Amino acid sequence: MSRLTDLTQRQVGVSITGGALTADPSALQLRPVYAEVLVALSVLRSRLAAVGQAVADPYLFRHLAGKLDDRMLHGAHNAVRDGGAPALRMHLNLAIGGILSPAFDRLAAVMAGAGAALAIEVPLMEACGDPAGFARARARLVEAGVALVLDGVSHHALALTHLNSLAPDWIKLDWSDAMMGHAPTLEGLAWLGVGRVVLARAESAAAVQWGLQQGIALFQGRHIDALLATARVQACPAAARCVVRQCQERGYATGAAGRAGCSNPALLDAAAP
Amino acid sequence: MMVPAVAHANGGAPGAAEMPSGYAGLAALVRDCAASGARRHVAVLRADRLPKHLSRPHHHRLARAAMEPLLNTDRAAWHDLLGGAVAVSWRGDASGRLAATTAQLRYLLTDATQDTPALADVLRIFTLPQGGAGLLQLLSGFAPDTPDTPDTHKTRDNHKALGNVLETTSLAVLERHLATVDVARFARRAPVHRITAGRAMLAWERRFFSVTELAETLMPDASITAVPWLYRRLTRAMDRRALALLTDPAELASARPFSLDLNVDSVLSPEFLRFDAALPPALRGRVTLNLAPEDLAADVPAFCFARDFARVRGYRLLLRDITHELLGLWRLDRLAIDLIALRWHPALAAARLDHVQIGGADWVLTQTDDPAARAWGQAQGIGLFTALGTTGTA
Repeated sequence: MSRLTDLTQRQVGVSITGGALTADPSALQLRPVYAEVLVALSVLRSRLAAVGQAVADPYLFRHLAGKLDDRMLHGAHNAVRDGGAPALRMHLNLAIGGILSPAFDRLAAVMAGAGAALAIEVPLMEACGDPAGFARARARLVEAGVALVLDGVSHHALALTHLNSLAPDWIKLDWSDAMMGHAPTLEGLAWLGVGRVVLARAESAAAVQWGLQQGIALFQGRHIDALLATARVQACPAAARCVVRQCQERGYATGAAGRAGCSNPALLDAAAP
Repeated sequence: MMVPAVAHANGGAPGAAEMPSGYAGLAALVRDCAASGARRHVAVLRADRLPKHLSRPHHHRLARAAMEPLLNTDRAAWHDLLGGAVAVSWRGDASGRLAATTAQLRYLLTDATQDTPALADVLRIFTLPQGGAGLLQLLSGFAPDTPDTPDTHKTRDNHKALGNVLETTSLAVLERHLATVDVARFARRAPVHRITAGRAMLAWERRFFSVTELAETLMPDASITAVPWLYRRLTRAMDRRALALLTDPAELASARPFSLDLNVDSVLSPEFLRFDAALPPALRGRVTLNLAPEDLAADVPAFCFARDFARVRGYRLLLRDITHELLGLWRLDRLAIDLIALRWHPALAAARLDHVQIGGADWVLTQTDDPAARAWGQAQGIGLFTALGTTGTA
């Protein structure tokens, strides 16, 4: 994405079928569903000393995220305008102010014109901090035909909320080992309905197994990234000198610099063979 | 969250990509709404109607600051007019924000000892397109001699400072400044009443700082609430100063039961422990800590730890700022708190609370400036209310 490529990363969310009752990863069938474009905090940290403090403080982080919205929206707009519809549904993290901005309208218009799907991720904390603004933002998304993803939901919050009252299209539930055998989490999931749940931060095979056992079909996390990279390296005719780790890192890149060395960028875009 | 700065050129009129502000912007908004049928609201603050003894510069700043809540609305635009008058236009329902504005202005007017103007003389509300003619008639007294172009925005330039907002760099300076300034003069109290059989009795006092006056002193050239997350961060420094102030034995010796807005972090701070150590036995169990729902959403375990930490020390816990939008979100009966502060909004008028599970907690209805709020609250069995004319949480 022009002018933002070095500040952003992408991570792919997948639907998984099969393998719920087996530990064999080869039995899992992964289908890429969306690509989340997010600010690369590691890059920001290296450029701005204050970012470290901001990331550690939820209030400063929300402020920082809001400040980056405009650049994120313009970068995404220009990327779609110049490069056409992305291969996967695009997920962007925005603050409420970003959704209510003219830049969002422009992005929604160019996405609709390109026949591309868009979803906006908003943290639960943001929805609670400005409920009236959140309601306006949700109405704006509905008006624009853009999906809403409720982000940053811990299993603790899941057990204490009726998230359906916020009318999200999807809810990203952050994986934690503590969820295993945690009755309030299971009760919360049952209340919510697993059809709209994405198990986020799925960093291990155990997370995926747990999610599949609960009936969750959508996953995102570094373990998923590794599974996708493994499949790409196995299928790619140009992967003779590539290792899975390299392919995984290149898969995060949103610009040419981060993909240097890859002879098959179309496969990276598609995320899976 | 990107809340717009105070001075915005885009009036947000239907179909207008870029709209001038000021008189010309409002006149164009009236025209466009009349042509398209689009609905907008305009609040006009007539600072020229303030009595002489309430017309010093800081009174004007307070009056203008009272309009700021309206900027947190959809398509909000600020319009500077001649003679110190200002207007804010917006789209959609903003009754909660408007209630905050009227409460602040009413509070300002209560300082008038003579020639007290009615609120309606100082603040006029118009709904477009129906109220367009009335608005234009009012604006005719504020029309500039020349068209309102960027070159003639002297009034706005004079108030350029209000367009400044808190930034991360100024936040750090402000936090340092706040650590040393005498904050006692900013301390305020607002009663929370228990109404039983038509009689109101003081239940406790909410103790807080006057943010408007604090900002006027520490950062007169900027709005410290216009960037909400930075303002939330600043409230931590305010918490520390409030706790330090209350740790003074002279402050607590004759104190009545009170409540205090605190961040979760502040409940676990050294300042809180010192405050707790200084709390007289007579007040133990009669102090309420008001915690925010966004703190709960940000870190549920931290919230629960702070709640339990405070409870074993005898504090009551209140979840503040529950709006009608949040009412259905939290499973309030599972939060194990003592009080839930529900912020009044006309959208609640058709709602019923009897099916909302809150465990053993009690409701407190806040922002009850509208008499309909009290009537609704009492009909729902609510017994605790913030006093008329106060906008605090509880």
